[in-house]
Amino acid sequence: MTLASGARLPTLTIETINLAAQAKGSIHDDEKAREMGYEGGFVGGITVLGYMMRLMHEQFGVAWLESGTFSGRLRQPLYAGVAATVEGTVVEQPSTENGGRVTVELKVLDPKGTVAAFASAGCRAHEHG
Amino acid sequence: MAETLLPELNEQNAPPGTPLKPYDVTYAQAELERFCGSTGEPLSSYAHAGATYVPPGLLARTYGPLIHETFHYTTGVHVSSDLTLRRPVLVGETLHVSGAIAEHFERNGNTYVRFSIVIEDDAGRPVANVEHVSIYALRPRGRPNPPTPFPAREGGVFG
Repeated sequence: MTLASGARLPTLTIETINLAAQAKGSIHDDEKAREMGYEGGFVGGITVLGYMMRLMHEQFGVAWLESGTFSGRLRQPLYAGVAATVEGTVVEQPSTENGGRVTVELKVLDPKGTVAAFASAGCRAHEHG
Repeated sequence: MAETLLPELNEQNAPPGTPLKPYDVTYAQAELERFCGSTGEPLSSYAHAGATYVPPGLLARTYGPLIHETFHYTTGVHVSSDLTLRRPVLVGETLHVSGAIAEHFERNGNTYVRFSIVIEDDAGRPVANVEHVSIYALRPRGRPNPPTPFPAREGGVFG
């Protein structure tokens, strides 16, 4: 794919899993989260950020593992058992001036289209696959 | 929940600069597969040119033992992670994880902590750095915001 600014990475759809649901008293625990006024236990933040890292890895492969930077923010809870959508858009294409690095804006959307998390990520642009 | 002897996480017990208890970690195959299962990708996708690498998400996750084996808090919420990868980490490598409290702040009735993490290999070379922010005292939903003694922050994460 082209890495020109504005290019969109292939969209991912991921079925959410709450690996920490058994952590009693934590925000991942359904009972505790409901007590706090939420719909249920939160899917772990690292899992949600990991969805966006997956997109970077699928696109850029070893270059992402070697030289990646990632600045991720969790904005809204994401619950288990739903289809999350992961989108990425190139915002800075690789050039001599930026050391051949690509910068991508990423987001994770819940089934209602609400942004649950977003990130800015970059790496040397060694196209993968 | 089990009783803990760890000190409560708060600004008095953990002022900026307070070191967190360092630890070593070597990721086992089962843990790698579990993590990849949660993000819907096979661990085999991390095999490149005959070597298998640790997913960067697991490096970001090193914050957990670091804070939870140094301080006690019950209901935290992960807010952000800034990760800088210095080199790929091979499955089977032993990593040394250390860090320190950077700051506490308050926004919309929630109390936050930011801490810095350094991940090094056996030779002491950095493989990754992480800046982590969590809420460690969460205002229940629906409760009005109390006045805060700290300046409000930009941006809206679980505000």
